[in-house]
Amino acid sequence: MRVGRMVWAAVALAALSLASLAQAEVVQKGGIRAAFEGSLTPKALPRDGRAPVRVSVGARITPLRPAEPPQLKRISIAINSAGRFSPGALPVCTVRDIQPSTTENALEACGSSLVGSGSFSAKILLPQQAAFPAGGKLYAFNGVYEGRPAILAHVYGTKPVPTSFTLPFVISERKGELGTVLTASLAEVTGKAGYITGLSLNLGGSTVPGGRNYLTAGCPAPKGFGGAVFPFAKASFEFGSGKLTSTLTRNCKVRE
Amino acid sequence: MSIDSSGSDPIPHIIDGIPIHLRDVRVYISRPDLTVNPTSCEPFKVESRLTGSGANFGTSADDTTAVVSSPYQAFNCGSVPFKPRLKLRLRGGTGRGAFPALRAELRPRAGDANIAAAKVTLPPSEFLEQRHIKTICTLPQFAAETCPSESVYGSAQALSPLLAQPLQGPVYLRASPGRQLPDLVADLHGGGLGLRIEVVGHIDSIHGGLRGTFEGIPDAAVSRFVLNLEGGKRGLLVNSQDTCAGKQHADARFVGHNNVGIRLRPTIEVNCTKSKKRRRG
Repeated sequence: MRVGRMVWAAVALAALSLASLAQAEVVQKGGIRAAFEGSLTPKALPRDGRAPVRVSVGARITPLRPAEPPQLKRISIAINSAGRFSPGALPVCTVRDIQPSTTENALEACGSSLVGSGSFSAKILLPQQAAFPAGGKLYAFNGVYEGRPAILAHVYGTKPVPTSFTLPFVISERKGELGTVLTASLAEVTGKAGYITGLSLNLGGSTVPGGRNYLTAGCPAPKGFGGAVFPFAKASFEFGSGKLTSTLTRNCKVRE
Repeated sequence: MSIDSSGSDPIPHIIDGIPIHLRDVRVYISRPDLTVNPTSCEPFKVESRLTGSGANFGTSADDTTAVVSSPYQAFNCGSVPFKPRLKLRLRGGTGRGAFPALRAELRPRAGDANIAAAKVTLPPSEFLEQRHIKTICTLPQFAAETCPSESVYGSAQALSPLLAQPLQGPVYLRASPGRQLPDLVADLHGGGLGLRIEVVGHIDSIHGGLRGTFEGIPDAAVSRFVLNLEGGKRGLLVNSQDTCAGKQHADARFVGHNNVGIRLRPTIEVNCTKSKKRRRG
């Protein structure tokens, strides 16, 4: 019986290491290529209950025909239900508190709500004008948006001109394996001329001052298994012309 | 300045049957204040292209042409004073997230050197609101004077002691090939002479402040230049902080055509009366 368990665990671990080779999932459709990547740390998590984790997700959008870049209207990232956000564990920030503002002012207003960081990049495309990049470092705050719990991703950049964006990722729960969903409508944020080319979010972990329990997760390994390969996150990218989806599979080990 | 033979009426060769052989033509432009010196000490020249008639007056086939020029260079330009005054005012909302209108009023002093270049940097309290850039005017549209109305973001007016009427017109965002951002262009018309002058400002940023750089301004006397940028839904500016929370200063650097520079730190006028009332309330 004990030998059988060890064999299963070995198979599971082999599967885990194979899965970890594929860090970014690339999907392509209708002239658009999207690369979605993500990770979960630590990998050793309790089977029962949850422990603080850090989740990183990121996406890069590339047009196959640069002259016709796709405009990302909406992004939705569904995370495995084994992971939970606890927005109530931290003070709440609103868009009005941080938008528009410099990073310094946003941190001054909502530093106690900081839940992560990341990066944002976009291209601004105007007629007869070479596309110019806009973007910068992103700071994520625990907040509310239209009365619902949200992660407010604030971006401030000074090149070529000072500007800031706040992308509100509304947090919702639904049934199913990928039941924790972050959704952001981007059209209003980036305007008519803005084309998002990249976005990354690193949530939870040591970046959360005084709120290590903001993001927690367990390892969904069945009893008798030392680890699990599980659908970690599914991203949906909605463009004016269509929709791309991509699912990442990741692994975890059971922490005894 | 250039005067060529295509710019004048033909000079008669025969008057009342008598052939005329012109040896000397003198034109005296002596009306007071009609001509003014440049304020630049760069070398200039007055150039003329003369067309001489051949033996056969009835045809231009045997005409000959000659180009003559007369150099001109002013000196001691550095002694010409240069102290323009700049007033900036934000109108409309003062709170963070409001889209104020901007009025910039430049008043060079009479007798000063003319402005050759200007760089004006707004304080970090003003961001560019990219969502409000609906469209811009392309270069062919601008040349054909068919810029779309949505590419208008303000208006401008220039008064010159040399012109009986003001020059005025819309302010566009216009394509600027080779640059990251479109240019802010005042398309000025009028002056009583049907003139069209474009004042071009390149937009970028420095130390977190939005900067407009105006270069190649003609060496012509201007007594007042006013630029208005719209606010509200069409406003290109957005407050990144409460503009009544403290004094806002711009940084303005001017270079005169006499190569003298000046740096100003004008306080931006903001109407904080409503804001104060709200705070008290």
